[in-house]
Amino acid sequence: MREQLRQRLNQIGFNLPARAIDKLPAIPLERLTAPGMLDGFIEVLDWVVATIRSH
Amino acid sequence: MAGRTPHLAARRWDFIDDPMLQDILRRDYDELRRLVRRRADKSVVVLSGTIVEALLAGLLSKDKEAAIQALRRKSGNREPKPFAEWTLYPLIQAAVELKLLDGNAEIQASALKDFRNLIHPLVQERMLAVLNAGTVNTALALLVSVLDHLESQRTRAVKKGLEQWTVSRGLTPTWTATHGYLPKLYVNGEAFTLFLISSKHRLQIRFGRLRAVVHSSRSKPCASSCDSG
Repeated sequence: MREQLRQRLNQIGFNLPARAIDKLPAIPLERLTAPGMLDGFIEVLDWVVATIRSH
Repeated sequence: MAGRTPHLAARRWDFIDDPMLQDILRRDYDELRRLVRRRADKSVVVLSGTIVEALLAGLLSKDKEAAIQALRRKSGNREPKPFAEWTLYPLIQAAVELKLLDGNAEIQASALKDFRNLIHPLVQERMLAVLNAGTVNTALALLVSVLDHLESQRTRAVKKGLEQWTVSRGLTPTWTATHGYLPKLYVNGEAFTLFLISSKHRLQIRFGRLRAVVHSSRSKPCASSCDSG
C-alpha cells in the first residue's frame, strides 16, 4: 500500500524516491498551491481513507 | 550596518505565474542578498522596494480586471491608469483592497514605497537624515515581513482546504504544539495519521506509520488507546 501511495503521489507531482516509503518525507506546503495539486492530493487522501476503512 | 541585519533566507518564487516576472524576482532577490553582504546601503533600500513592486505586480496580474476595479474602489471611483503603468503605490492600494495585504502589511509596504523614492535625488535630499543603518535594517525587515505575509496567505488556502477535507471525511482534527496539524482517522479503535502540516509550513507524508497500523489492523485489533502517532 505504501508503494501504491508513493506512486499516486508522484502522479500528481510529488517526485518521491522509492526509499521515501521507509521515511517521513516532507515537501513545502507551497507546492500544493500549484494549479490542481491540492485537488490531486485530496483524491489520493480519499483513496488512502477508503483503503484503510476497507481493511 | 549597525544592529542585527534581518536574514534573507532562500525563497521559492514558483507561485508567480508569469515566467518573466518570476525570473526578475529571483534575480533581484539574489542580488539583494549580495548587496546586503557588501553593505551597499542605498542599493539595498531601493531594491527592497523594487522586489515588493514586482511581487505585487505578479500576483495582481493574474486578474488585472479585478485589480483595476479594486483600485477604482480604493481611490473613490477615480479612473486608474492602465495596469502596465502602475507603480508601487497603486499596486499596494489594490492589494489591500483585494485583501492580499492586511492593514499592517499596507503600512509596511507603504514605508517601503517611501524608501524606494530614495532613488530620486531630490527626494533623497529631503530624506537624507533617515538613510542610515537603521533605515537599511528596517527596509529589509519590512520586505521580509511582506514576503512572509504574502506566502502565508497562499499556504493558508491550502491548509483551509485540507482542514475542510478532514471534517468532511469524518477525520478528527488534531493540533499539537510540537508537531503542528495532524488529523487522525479512527477505524475500529485505531488511529491513523496520514499527513502532518508542521509549523514551518511543510507537509509530511506518514508512510512509515501507515505501514505499521495497516499491518496491525490486519492481524489484531488493538485497544482504543492505540495510536499510530
